[in-house]
Amino acid sequence: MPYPSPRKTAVVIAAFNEERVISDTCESLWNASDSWDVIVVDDGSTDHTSDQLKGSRATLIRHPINMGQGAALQTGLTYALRAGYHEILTFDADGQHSPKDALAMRDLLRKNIESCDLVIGSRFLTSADKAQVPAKKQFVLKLATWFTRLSTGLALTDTHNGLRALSHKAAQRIQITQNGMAHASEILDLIAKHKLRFVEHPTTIHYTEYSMAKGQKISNSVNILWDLFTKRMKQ
Amino acid sequence: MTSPIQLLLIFGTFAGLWIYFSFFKTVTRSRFALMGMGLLAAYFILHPEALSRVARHIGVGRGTDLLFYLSLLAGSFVVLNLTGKVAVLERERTVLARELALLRTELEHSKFEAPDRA
Repeated sequence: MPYPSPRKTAVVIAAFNEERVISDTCESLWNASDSWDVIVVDDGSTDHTSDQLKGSRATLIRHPINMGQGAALQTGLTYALRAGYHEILTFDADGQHSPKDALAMRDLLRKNIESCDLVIGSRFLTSADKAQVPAKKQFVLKLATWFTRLSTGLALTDTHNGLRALSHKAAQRIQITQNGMAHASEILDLIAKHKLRFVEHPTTIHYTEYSMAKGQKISNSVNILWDLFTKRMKQ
Repeated sequence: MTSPIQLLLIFGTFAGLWIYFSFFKTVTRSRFALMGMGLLAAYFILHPEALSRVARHIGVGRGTDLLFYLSLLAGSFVVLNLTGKVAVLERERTVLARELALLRTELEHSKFEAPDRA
């Protein structure tokens, strides 16, 4: 198959109507390192997200219709697996993640590849990172952590951090079927199910007005819980 | 004596069945079951007191109450069934859209790389 890159790391970004920030997000990744390829999955945007990347180094995959962040991430993972990347990172399109954190997580995974399948970002490992998180969000995330511990047994400090570094093996095991926002919880379910070994790594989230407006609404947590509940019922 | 509304209801029942059989493929067993239900419905339309007798027999009270409860059950079944079918369709749609997107990307790459391979 004609895949373009000799690099070992892929950064997968799911993007929906991100024309304002997608170029800057990609640039920030390339400025931080030249050792990874950026794969952007345009999830059926109705704005000019794809046009912003024309002529850039990013590999652009365009969904013909909007399906949700979970579906877009899985498309990026599938592409990266077929292309044979060794490490695959997931990174938010709105630019709230730090490329330096991503690089550190990739290096940590690479260094411990014999004993670790994935590195998960956490906003609650240092007090400085924790201070960046708005109080209401902290409360909801604490609830999610508690729910995850109860349902999967995973002792995590942050269950909904979009910054992750997956080994090839972990990406093969994690097959996301939740198209919407419940994919974050589904990934944790799959980590527990396949007994994947993970470590957490501190991440600094740069909340901006844009990312807060685009990001997950707290009220949507009810929908996510419903999606997960119906999935459990089907199992 | 048969009233016009009874005739209209019976006509509606069998017209509905005819449309269903014409437009959707059904297995013979389902066809017989639906025909049986149609005939039963026609009987109860013509003899509403029979439905009340059945209702009293099973402890529901009135025939209309029995009909209401049965409609609720049937409605719930239909909703569950359709929800399941929509979920399957959505899964299939996701796979198709994903493969289309990946294929398009691969084709764009092969177009880009063609001169190197020549």
